[in-house]
Amino acid sequence: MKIQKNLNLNFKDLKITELPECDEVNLLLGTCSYDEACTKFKALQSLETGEELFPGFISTVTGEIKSVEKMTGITGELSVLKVHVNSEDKVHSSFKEHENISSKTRDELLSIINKSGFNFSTESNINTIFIYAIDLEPLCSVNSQIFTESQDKLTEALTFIKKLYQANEIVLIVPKVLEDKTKQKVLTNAKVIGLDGLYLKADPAMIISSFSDAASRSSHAFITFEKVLAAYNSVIKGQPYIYKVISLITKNEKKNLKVRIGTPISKLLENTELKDNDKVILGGPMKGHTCYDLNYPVNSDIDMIYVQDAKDVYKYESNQCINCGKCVNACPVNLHVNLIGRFAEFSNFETCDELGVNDCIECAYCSYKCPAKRSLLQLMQHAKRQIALNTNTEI
Amino acid sequence: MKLIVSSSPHWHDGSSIKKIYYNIIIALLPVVAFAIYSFGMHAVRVIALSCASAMLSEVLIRKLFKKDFETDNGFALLTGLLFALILPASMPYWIVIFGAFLCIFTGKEVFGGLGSNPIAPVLVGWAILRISWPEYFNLNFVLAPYDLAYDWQYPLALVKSSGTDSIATYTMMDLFMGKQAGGLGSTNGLLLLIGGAYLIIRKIISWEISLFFLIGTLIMATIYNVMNPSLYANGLFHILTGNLLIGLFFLSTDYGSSPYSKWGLIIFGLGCGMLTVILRAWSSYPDGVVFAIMIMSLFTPLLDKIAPKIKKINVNYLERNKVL
Repeated sequence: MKIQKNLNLNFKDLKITELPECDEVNLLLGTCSYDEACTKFKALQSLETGEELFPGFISTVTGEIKSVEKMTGITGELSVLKVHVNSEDKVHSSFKEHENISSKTRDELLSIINKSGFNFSTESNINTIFIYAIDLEPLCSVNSQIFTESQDKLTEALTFIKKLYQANEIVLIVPKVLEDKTKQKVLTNAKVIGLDGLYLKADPAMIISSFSDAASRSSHAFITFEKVLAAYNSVIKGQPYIYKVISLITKNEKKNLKVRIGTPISKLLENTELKDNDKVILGGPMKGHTCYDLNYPVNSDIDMIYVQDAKDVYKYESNQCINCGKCVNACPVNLHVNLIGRFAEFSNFETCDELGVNDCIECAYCSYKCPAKRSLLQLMQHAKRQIALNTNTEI
Repeated sequence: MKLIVSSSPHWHDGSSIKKIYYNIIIALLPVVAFAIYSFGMHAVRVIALSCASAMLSEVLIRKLFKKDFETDNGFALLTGLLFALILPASMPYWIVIFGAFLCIFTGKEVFGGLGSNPIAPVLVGWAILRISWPEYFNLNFVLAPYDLAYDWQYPLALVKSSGTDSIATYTMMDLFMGKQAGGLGSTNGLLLLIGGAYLIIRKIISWEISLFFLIGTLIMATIYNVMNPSLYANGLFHILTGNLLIGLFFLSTDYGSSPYSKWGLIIFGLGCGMLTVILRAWSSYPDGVVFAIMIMSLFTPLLDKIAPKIKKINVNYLERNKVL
C-alpha cells in the first residue's frame, strides 16, 4: 500500500487538453425509470445537440438512439440512453447568441440557463453565493485550472452571477497563491478568500462555519467556477452545457481533460492498463465513489477520475476500536467518532443521534487516520441513514 | 476484469495497530538491553517467561472465548514485556507466569478485548500480585543476594522509613543512570527518556500526559518538601526513582484507559503525578505510581466528557450542501 501523506489542496498548472470525440455516448436520464424511458425513446430516433430529453437533462451530442439500457450507478440502478454520434455536430435551433444580457430579466436568463442543461435554483432569496475556484479534493485541479486560464472573463462572469441572483455578497474562494492577484482584479465585485493546506478547509460546511453572520448562513449557495463560466457562455454564446473538464489521475499520467458529457469512462482510460483488483474512483480519493461500471458516462458532478493500482488499494479491516482517540482529534466538528462508530456497529442509533452524528460533514478524515482501519465514515453514514428512516416512519 | 468497489476514503495514512505496538516495543528495547546488562540471565528469565506467558494466555483465552486470534498485533507481547520490566529480577517463575496471565485475562479479555479495558492490563496484573504476595515485591530486600555495583536498598523505601538523610549518599546522576534498586526496566532514566522521546516524535503517545505527569509530580513533591524537608524528598528524586519514568511514558499512555481530549490528557497527567507523590508519602506502599495511574484511569470516562463543543453548522444537511 502506498501511503499518501499529502492531503493538501492542489494547485498545479496542468494545461487542459481536449479528448477526441468518440462515436458512442451514454446519456443519463436522471430520475426517469427504465420503463418510462423505453416508451419515450425509440431506436433510431435522431437527437440534436442541446435537445431536452428529460427536465434538466439534454442530449449532448447529435446522433441516433441505439438503445435504452440499465446501468449500475453510484446510487443504484439507472437508465441510460445509448446514442450513436454523427460526425457533424448540429446544435438545436432554440440556442442562439444573446449579445445584450442587461435587457433580459432574471427569469428569462434562468430559463435560458436551465434549458442548456443546468439545474439552477429559481429561488430569489439567496444572500451569499460562494464560488469555488478551488477544488475540494487533493490531486484535483479542475476549477483552479479553469480559473487561471480564463482570467479575462472573470469580471463579466461575476457581474453576471450577481445579477442573476441579486445576491448581497459573492465570495470567491481561490488558491492562496492567487489571492492577492485576484483581489486586485475583482475589486469590489466579490469578497476573495485564499485557501491552502488540508483539503478539509475547503469543505462547504467549514466555509460556512467560518462565516458567523446568521444572515449569510440562512440563505446561501455554492457553485463551482466552471459552472459559472459555462452558464455565462450558454447565455452569451448560445452554447449548451456539453463539455466538462475532468482531472484524470491514472497510474502513469496526470492531466486535465475537456470531455463531452456522456462519454463512457472506459474511453478516458484507453491509455491506462487496467488489471484485476484495480479501483476506478469517480471523484477524489477522500470522498469519491468507486465506479461499478466502466460504461458509466461522464456527467457534470464528476470532477475527477482517479485510478488506483491494485497494490495501492487499502483494505478496511474488521478490527475492534482501540480507543486511541486519533479520530476524535482529527474530526473538524469535534464528534466522538470512536463512540459513534461503536454504537452504530451495534445498531444503537438513538445514542448515535444523541452524540451528534447528524452534524458529521462526511469529510472522511477519521477513516483516513484510524490505525485499526475501521470503516468509520461508512458507519457514520449508516447511522445517519437509519436515524432518518426511523424518524420518517414514526411520522 | 474485476474492479474493486469500496466506500470512501480511498487513502489511508498507513498507521496500524501492529505498527503502534511494535513501535512501543522498539522504544523499550534499550531498557531491555540495560536490564540484561545489569542482571544477566535473571533478567532474561523474567522477561522471556512473562512475554511467553502473556502471548500464550491470550491465545488460550481467545480460543476459550471463541474469538479470532490477534496475538500477531503485538499487544500481548508488549503487555508481557512491560509487566516484566516493572518486576524485580528476583521474581519467582510462578509469579511471573501467573501475573502475565492475570494481565491478559483480568486486565484485557474480560472487559471485551483491546481498547475496552478501563485500566491498563499491566497495572491490573501487577496490582493483584502486589497485594496478594507483598513479600516478593519488597524491593528493599529482594535484590540483596545479587552482586550489584550499587546499594541494593530501595531508595523510596529508605525515604519512607528513615527520612531524607538516608538517601544523602545517592547522587541524582547515579539515579538517572540506573544505579539504584528497582524493577528490571524502571531504573534507567536516560534510556526511558530516549524511548519516550521516540514515541512522542512518532506521535504514538501524547506528550500532554507525560509532561503534565512530570509537572504534577514536581508540584506535589515540592509542596511536601517545603512542609517537611527532613521527611519528604525533593521533586527530582521523586521523578528519578521507582516506576515513575516508565509509568510516565509507557504505563499511563495506554490507549484504552487514557482520555483523548487535550484538557482530559492534561488533567489526567496532573492527577497521576500528584497522586503518585501523595501515595508515596502517606500510603503504606513505598511507590505509588501504579496505583495513581489506576485511580486516574477510573476517571477517564469522565475526563472524556471535557471535549470541545460539537460545531453545529446550524443548517440541515441538504441545505448545507445546496449547490446551484
